[in-house]
Amino acid sequence: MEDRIGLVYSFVMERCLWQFFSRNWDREENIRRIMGDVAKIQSGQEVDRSTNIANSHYADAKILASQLSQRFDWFDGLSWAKVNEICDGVIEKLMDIAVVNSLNAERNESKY
Amino acid sequence: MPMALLEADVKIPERKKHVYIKQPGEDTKQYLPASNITTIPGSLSERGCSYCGAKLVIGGVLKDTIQIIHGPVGCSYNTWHTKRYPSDADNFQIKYAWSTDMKESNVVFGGEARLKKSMLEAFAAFPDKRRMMVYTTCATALIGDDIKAVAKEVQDELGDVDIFCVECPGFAGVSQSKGHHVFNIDWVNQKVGTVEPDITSDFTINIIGDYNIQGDAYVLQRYMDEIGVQVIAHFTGNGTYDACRSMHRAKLSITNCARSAGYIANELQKQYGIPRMDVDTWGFDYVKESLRKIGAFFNIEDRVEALIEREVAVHGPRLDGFKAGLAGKKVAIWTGGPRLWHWTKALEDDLGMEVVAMASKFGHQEDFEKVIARGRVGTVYIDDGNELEFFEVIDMVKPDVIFTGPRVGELVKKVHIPYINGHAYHNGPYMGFEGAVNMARDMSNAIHSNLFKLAKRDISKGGF
Repeated sequence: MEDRIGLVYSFVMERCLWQFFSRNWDREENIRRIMGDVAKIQSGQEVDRSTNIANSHYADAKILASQLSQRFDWFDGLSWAKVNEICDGVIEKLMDIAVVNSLNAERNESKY
Repeated sequence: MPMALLEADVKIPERKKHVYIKQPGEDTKQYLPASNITTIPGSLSERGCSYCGAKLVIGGVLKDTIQIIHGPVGCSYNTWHTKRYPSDADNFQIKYAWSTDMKESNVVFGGEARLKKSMLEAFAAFPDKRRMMVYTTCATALIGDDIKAVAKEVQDELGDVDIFCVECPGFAGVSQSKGHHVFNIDWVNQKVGTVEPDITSDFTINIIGDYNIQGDAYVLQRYMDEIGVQVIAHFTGNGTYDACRSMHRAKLSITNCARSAGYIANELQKQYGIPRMDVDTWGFDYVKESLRKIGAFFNIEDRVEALIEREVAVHGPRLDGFKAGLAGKKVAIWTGGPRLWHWTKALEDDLGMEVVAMASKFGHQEDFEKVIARGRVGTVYIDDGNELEFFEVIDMVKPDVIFTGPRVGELVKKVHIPYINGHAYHNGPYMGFEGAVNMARDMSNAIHSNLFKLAKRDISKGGF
């Protein structure tokens, strides 16, 4: 499972931009919501699209889920529990590099 | 040796924290170049000033706005002629330059009267233009001219005009980046929400951080027209002053240059609930992804897929035609900041090239987080690079072509390496599917040019 988490994490880091928004709180919101939506989309659950911001997270997640399916032949056949485990693992790694242990000194600048 | 002290920097060892060479297994938790900090004395920086960031990059692009530069004439000239951003308004914004032409006596006795006279003259000379931006510069900021008070007088006197004051002199920050910041925040706080647009579609969007370099915005506008998305505002490529006042009515902001315009995208999300969606509008494969995100947001995936299918059918074979000549070629990208992370994977994934060195003039650590995540192991990453560093890095990585500006470009030509204008392009647009082909063609022409082969011959040694 760690290998698969690593593969998805590497793809997100190379391909996506939302984990590197300007501020800590934007980064955390994006990471948790988009990866959470990927898990829901992949397991056929309903995704919150009630606001424009929620809908934007959904759109990012939908395209990412599609790319992961195309890139990794094992991704589509995973159970809900496994998908969730992978997405949680990726969230943890993204939070680590982009929020918790990022060396970027501007993330907490209120006037960014 | 992840953070590297180049030989050129032995006398200025502070430069070590700005130069990084990525090693296997490393990430940005361990090493992240210092950036957006004061240039070290002794380092010949390529940076621009903060006023330049506000005027040349953002405000000056608008196609219907008089741009008064309140300062010595050079401040106007030096932010007029160096960008190629056309418009469909007969290129009004690049035909003219306006300056209050401050002289010593104005500095000693104050320049407000001269500014008011210039503003009234400009409105009189261009009676069909009723929108104006006024920029303070180092000289007029230091003497304390109150440009907002003067602008209010002119607005009250003329009645039908609207004026935006940009109070960001050259010394306001460490680079042009401060000018981006000041313009973004003042615009969203002072002007957004003051005009109501005509809404013609259920699908409304702001295109943020594209400046219509050689027609980029035309490409994006055409795509949006085809899928039925109304562009409320282009901030600011081929854009208008009043459209940018109505950005609060879009349902989505797509952001390309997050460095120069991420601030306004953030504020639109915070103040108006309009989400900021970062996209890559350069790169053949990236463009598909960006369009698909817009399609998913508005539930118009079928229209987007039809557009992609047609564009790929037209431009895919053209791009393929350049791949063989570009695969394996080494590229350096020495531009402002975001183009490093926009371009590196696009050139590698679309064309099989290797990006071996990247330098940013005004990027922040956020930009280096992105580019180091996307960039290769062994690649050299430099913040605020100087001329001697560039020559040393050329010797280290031996690029076949360099994307950079005309100033550095002229330098690298002297060592017989072709450069492509990474700021204003050689023959753009570079955005969209057709743009990716144009970029590949320009690289191919540069790398395979016989001129550079001939230039390398030393005729003193019997080269001919």
